Amino acid sequence: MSAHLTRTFLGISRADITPPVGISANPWGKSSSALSRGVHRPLTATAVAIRDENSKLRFIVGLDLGWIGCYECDVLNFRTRVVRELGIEIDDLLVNLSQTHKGPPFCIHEALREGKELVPAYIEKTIKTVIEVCREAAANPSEVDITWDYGKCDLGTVRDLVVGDEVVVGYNPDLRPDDTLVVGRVTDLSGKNVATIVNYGCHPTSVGWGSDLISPDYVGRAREIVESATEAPMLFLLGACGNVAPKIQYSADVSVADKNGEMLGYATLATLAGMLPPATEYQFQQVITSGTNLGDWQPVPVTPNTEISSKKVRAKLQHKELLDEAQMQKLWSPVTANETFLNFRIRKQFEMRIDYVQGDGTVLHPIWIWRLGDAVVVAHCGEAYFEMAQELRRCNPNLMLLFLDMTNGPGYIYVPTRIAYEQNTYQSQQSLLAPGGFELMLEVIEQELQNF
Amino acid sequence: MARPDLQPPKAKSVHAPFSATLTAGFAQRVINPPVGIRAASWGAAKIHVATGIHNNITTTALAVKDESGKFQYLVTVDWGWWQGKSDDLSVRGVVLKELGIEENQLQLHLTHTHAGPSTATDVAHLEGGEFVAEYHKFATSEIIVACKEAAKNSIPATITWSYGKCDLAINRELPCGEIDIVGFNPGEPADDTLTVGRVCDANGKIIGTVVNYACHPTTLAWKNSKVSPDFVGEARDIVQAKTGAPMLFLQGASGDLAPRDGNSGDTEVADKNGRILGYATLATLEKMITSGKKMRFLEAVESGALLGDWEEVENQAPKTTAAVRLDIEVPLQKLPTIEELRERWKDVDEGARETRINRAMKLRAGYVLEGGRATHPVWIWQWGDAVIVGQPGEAYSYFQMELRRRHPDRVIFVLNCTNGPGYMYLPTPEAYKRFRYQAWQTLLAEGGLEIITDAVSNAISRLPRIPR
Repeated sequence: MSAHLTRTFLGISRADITPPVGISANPWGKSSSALSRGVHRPLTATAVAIRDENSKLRFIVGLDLGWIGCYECDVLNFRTRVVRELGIEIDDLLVNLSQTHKGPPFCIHEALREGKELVPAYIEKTIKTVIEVCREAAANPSEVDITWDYGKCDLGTVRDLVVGDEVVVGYNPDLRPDDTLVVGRVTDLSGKNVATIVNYGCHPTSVGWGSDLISPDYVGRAREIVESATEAPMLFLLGACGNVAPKIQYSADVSVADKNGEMLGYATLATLAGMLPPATEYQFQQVITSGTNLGDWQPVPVTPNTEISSKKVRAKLQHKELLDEAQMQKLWSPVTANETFLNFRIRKQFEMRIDYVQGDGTVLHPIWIWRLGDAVVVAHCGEAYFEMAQELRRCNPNLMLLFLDMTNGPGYIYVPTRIAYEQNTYQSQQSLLAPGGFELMLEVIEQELQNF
Repeated sequence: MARPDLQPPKAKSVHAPFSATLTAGFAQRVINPPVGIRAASWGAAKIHVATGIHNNITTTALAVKDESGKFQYLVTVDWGWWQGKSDDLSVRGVVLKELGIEENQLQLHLTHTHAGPSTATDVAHLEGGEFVAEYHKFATSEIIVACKEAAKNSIPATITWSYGKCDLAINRELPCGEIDIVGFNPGEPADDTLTVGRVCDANGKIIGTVVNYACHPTTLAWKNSKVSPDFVGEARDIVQAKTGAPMLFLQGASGDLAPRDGNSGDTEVADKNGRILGYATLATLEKMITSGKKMRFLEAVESGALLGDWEEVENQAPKTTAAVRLDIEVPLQKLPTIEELRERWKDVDEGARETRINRAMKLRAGYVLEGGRATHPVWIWQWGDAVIVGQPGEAYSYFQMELRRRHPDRVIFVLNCTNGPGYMYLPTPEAYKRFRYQAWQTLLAEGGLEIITDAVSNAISRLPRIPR
C-alpha cells in the first residue's frame, strides 16, 4: 500500500497576533456593537517555509483572521510588501485566512464601527509580524518527512437551509457534507514531531454576534489539543467551506467554539494515530500459519518524493451582469441590517473587480497549485462549495489533495454550484460569477492536475 | 432584524437527537489474571502463558431498568471468545444464578481480545492451566459485583445516541491465488461506523459511555505474551480520562475487519490503535448536543447575510424499552468427522492442526441439535431510539451495515461474541466461495448470515415505533 510522503527542508514559526481589547472585532451585521471586551483565545500567525532542492523558498502562512476582500489592503499593502521583504515572488507565498468571525478587520476600509481607531496600527503590526515569522521559519529549515493521510471529521454541516421561499445560511440536517480531513505529520529525520498541517473546510462561525470576545473560533481549541499531544505547532488551512458550517453556531458562548474545536482536534489526533512511521509504506511480507493462514504486512522504508514545484493558473469564468451602485442600493437595502453595512457591501463589490473582472464578460480567477512531494495544494481566494474539493478527490483517488479557500487574492467571492444559483442562496447573490463558474473552475483545475 | 415570515416546514423545524430516558447505572472492575496463567490464542505462538500485564483486563456492567421494573444487564469482559457452551455457562450461568435473573436479562459480551487469559475450562493439564479455574472464579465474582453495583448506582439518566466514524478497521481478507487469507486488503473498504451512547445524569454529567465498534482486537498476536485488552484498553483510558466515567466497549460485527497494524508483539502498537478509536470516540461525544436537548429552528435573522438560527430546547427523550429473543433456524454445512478434519489439515503443523480440530468439536456441543438442526440465538433490546442486537457469533460487517441501512430511524448497536451458544463466524457467500478461514471455521452453511440478518431486521421492524 503506497503512502503519501514528502521529504523536503522545512521550517515553522508561530507568533501571537491577538489585537488589543477594545478593537473592533464583531463583524456580524446583527451585532449591536463591534467593540471587543476580552479575548477567548489568542489569535496566531503560523508560517511554514519550504526550501526546494534549488534553494528556492516558498511560504505558507495561516492567519487567525477573517477576510480581506480588498485588493488594496491585500495585494498592494500586505502581500506585495511581505514578499518584497522576504525577497521572493508574490506567487511563492500562500496566505490562508482561517476566516474566524470574531477577529478584527484586516482591511482599513472595513474598520467602520466602534474600536475602528485601533485597526490601522493593528494591521501594520500584524504585517510586520507576518514578515518576521516568515523570516524565522526560513532561518533554520531542517530536513523533514511529511506523512500525509486523509481522516474524517464530522464538525462541518451543510448550511444552506430552505425556509419559506428563501434559502438562509443555517444548519440543514437533511444534507450530507464532505467529512474529509487532510493531515500532514511533519517530523525530523529522527522522527520527532516538527509540525502538523491540518486542512479542513468549515466556516468558523461557532461564535456569533452575541459575544464581545476576540476568538479564533473552533481552530483555537483544535490547535491546543493537537499541539499538546504532538508538542509541535499546528498549521490550520481552511478548506472548501462555502456551504459548510458547524451544526451549533452563531452562539454567544465561546465554549461552543471549544466544543466544536474538540471535534476537529480529536479527529486530527485519531488521524495522526493511524499513520505509519515516517518514510515507510506497507508491504506484504509473508503468509504465517497459525490457527489460520495470516497475512503479515510490515512498514518498509521507502524514498519519499522530494519534488517541490508550483504554478499559478487563471481560470477564465463568466461573470454575472454587474450591478451599478443604484441597483445594489435597491437590491440589498431590504436585506441588510443597516446603512453602514450596505455602503460597505457596495464598496466591496467594486474592490472585488480590480485585476479580476475583464472587459469581455469574464473574470480571471487565480488558482495556485503547489506540489509538495506526494501532496498537491490547490489554493484560491474564493469560498468554494465543498463539492469542489470532494469532486477533485473523487476524480483523483490516488492524489493527496489539500484544497484551500481564502488564500491570496483577488477572487474574494463565493464559488457556488449551479444548484445554489437556482435556489438563489446568499452565496450565489454575493458571487460575481455567473452560474456555471463552479463547474468550469472544477474542469480547469482537473485539467491542470492531470498535466501537473 | 428577525424575519418571522420565514420558517422551514414544520416537520423540518426540529432536529432531535437519538436518545432515551432510562434508569441506568454503571460499574467497572479490574479482573487482571495472575502472571503465568494460560494465554494461548495463537497457533503460531511459542509462549502459551502470560508473562505480564500490558493494560488492565476489566469487566464493565451497565444496568438498565425496563418498563416492568426489571434490570437488563449489558456486561462486557476483556476476554477473547468462548470455545464452547460449557465454558460460556461456567461463567454466565453463575452470574445469572447469583443475580437471580432470567437468561434473557443478561447480555454477557466479550470484547474479543486475542491477548486475554484462557476462557476454557478444560486446560488445567496444560502449561499455565493450573491458574485458570481459580481465576475464572474470581472474575465471575467480580462480574457479579459489577452487575450489583451497576444496579445500585442506577439513577434516572438521559442517553444520547450517535453515529461517528473511526478509521481503525480495515478489511482483512486478502486474495492470494485461489483463496483468501486473513490479512490486510488495501483494495477493499471497511465499515467505519462508530456507535456511541453518552449516558448523563439529570445535571448533564456523564455517568458512562457505551462504545460499539467493529474491529478484531488482533493488534497483539503470537509474538506478544502479555495479557492485554488490545486496543480497547488505550481507547478506554483516553475516553475515561476525559469523561471521568466508565466506558463500556462492545465489539461489533468484525468477522472481516481488523486493524491495519496488527499481528504485532509490541504493546505500543495496541496503544496506537487504541488512540485511533479513543480520539474518534471523543470527537463523536463532542458532536452531541447538550444532554436532554433537541434543536429547534429559532428564526431567520438579517445580518450581513440572511442567517438561519437554531436553538436548543428541552427534548422529551423516549422511555420505551422492549426485549426480544430470537432463536433463528439456520442451515448447517455438512459437518466433517474428526478423521476428515485430520485429513483436511494433514499438511498443517501438528500443534496448529490439533488446535483447529479441538475448536471445531467444541463449537458443535450444545449448538448442533438432534437431527442436525441448529438455531442461532439473538437478543434484541430496545432502549429508546437505540436497539442493542447481541449474538454469540462473529458476524461479518454486512450484518451491521445492512441492519443500519434498513433502519435509519434508529441507532443500532451490533454485538458479536455475546451469550451463546453459536460461537462461530457468520460469513458472507463470498467467504465460502473463496474458502476463507471463517467459512471453514463456521458450522453454518452459506446463506446463514442472510437468514439471521432478515430475521433480526424483521424483529427490529416490529419493535415499538418512536415518532421522530
